[in-house]
Amino acid sequence: MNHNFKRVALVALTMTAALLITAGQSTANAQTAAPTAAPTNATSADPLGGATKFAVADKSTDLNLMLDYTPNTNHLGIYAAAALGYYTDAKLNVTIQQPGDVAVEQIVGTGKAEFGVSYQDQATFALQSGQPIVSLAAIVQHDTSAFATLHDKHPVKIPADLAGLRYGSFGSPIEKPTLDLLTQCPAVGAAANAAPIQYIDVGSAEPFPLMEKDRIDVTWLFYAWDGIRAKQQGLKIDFVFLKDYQQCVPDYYTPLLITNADMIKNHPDVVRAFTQATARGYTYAIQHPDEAAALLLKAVPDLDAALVKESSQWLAAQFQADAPRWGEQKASVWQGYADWLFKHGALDHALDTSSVFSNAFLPGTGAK
Amino acid sequence: VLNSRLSRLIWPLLTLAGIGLLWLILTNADTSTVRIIPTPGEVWAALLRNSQTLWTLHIPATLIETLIGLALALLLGIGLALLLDWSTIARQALYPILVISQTIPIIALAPVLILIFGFGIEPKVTVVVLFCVFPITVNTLDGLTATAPDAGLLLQSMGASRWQIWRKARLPSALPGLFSGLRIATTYSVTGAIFGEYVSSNAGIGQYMRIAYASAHVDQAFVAIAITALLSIGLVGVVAGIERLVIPWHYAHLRTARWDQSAPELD
Repeated sequence: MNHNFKRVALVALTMTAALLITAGQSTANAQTAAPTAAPTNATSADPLGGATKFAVADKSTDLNLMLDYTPNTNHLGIYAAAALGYYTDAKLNVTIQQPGDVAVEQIVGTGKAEFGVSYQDQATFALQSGQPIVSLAAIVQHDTSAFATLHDKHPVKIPADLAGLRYGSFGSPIEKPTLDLLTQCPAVGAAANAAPIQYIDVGSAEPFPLMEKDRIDVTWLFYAWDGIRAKQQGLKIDFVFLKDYQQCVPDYYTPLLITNADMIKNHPDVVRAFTQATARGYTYAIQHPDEAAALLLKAVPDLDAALVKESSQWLAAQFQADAPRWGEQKASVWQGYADWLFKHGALDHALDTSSVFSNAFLPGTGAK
Repeated sequence: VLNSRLSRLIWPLLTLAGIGLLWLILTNADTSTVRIIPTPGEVWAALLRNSQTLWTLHIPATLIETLIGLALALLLGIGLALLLDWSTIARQALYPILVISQTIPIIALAPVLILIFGFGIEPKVTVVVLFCVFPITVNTLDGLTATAPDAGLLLQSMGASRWQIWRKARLPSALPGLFSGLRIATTYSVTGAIFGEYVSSNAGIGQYMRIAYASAHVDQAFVAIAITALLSIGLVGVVAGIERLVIPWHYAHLRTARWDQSAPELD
């Protein structure tokens, strides 16, 4: 009996010790995992450009911000700014509107929403059709999209490997020039007479089952959302990132924060207050990705928590990347992409993009 | 009688069981890593996982849009039917437009609805009304015009005014049509609200479904489908109940017909 008790006690002790050690190790792992997860091109530059004071609207203002898509980690800074009271600090009462089957550029261009989330390609097309929109900030500094294949079916390392594959198209005018130029990119040794990509219209259908069932071979996705999601679902995927081949397809801003020309003319104080409060939100997302993820999940509980968490960690270093501050836009990126679209027939006429974006509302400007 | 009640219970249950079996077969056939058909268990788990937001946010939002839209469609539908019944010119002018209203794709309408109404409940209610007015108007109009001409003539010969003829003969004869129109409209109404939420929305079954598809959560999408179906069935049931209260003679008539048919067998 006594002997037995001793044995039990010993076993219990051993197990407790083992548990403690394992727990200690897993904490240690978690601690070391965080720096590894943080991508390498993070800079030490202050996302707020050194600003410590932020613009406030002249009077309390209600406004609508229309997202580009269902809420996702691209919107971390917006939900953070709302939850942490940065908009309230700026005397703004912001309602975040989710879009459905509407073009954000149209809604913002006509003033039904004062602000919106758009993309440089869509904004450029909207500009061509005369929508008076102005971009206030690049939410993510470099394009994070990639062409993706299932590794076991069609392994790809360089764009030339995509030649001859069947691409699941969602119907954007930039798909063909982007893919054609990418697969024929001479900078990475592609043959000029590579087999052409086949375009198969899949609309908004989920691409991965189509790839597994051999209906299509390649899809175009944003790594931070669909790429991470596919990996979490257990797929082995090869990615060709667009930003690695800027010699052939110029970099562009995806996504952007936009407003309309009327707001800039008549309510510059609101535009400045909104842009700076949003910059504070993204600064929080850059510095506290896990907390920012929790704020997004609290605001939109139906989202996939694991996806939001991993995506937030990955995006933290992408929001600002190598820019001197969060949101900064370059004239060369705007003009370069518009020229490229025009050259490859996706635009009807050449565009002057000098008035379509502005850095003049970012933090460090006009705070009282 | 017992036999017929039993069969009314057994056949729908057998149909449901058949659909369930088909579902399981499809689930097993879907061997992809990223599945497009969830198992019943996964759907149930998703329902439990999201029950908080579903009950407090999405179902109330969609239900309110549906009920307001349906009520407006009922008023507008009856009004239109009366107008079209009353005036031949109105019928010639408006009937084609009523048909055209059923052919407009919501995608084309979405930006217009936002530009007119903004982001509130109005665009969603408008879509419900667009879905629901047509069946109510057409069926009510059919009921009105199908009034036995002899009944009108008889009342006229007894010195009844146009209003009296309308109230005593045409209105009662239009009610069964009105209710069958309303039942069809109710079937469409929840789907209408969900289409409306696809225009732009921050809450509702449609918005929940869009988030589900955006992160490829087919289990959540199926939850949305199931809730839509249950809401629709529930609302249609309520309408059928009201119908029995308002026009009992219609049902008495049906019951008699059924009894007459089965009577010889009882012999």
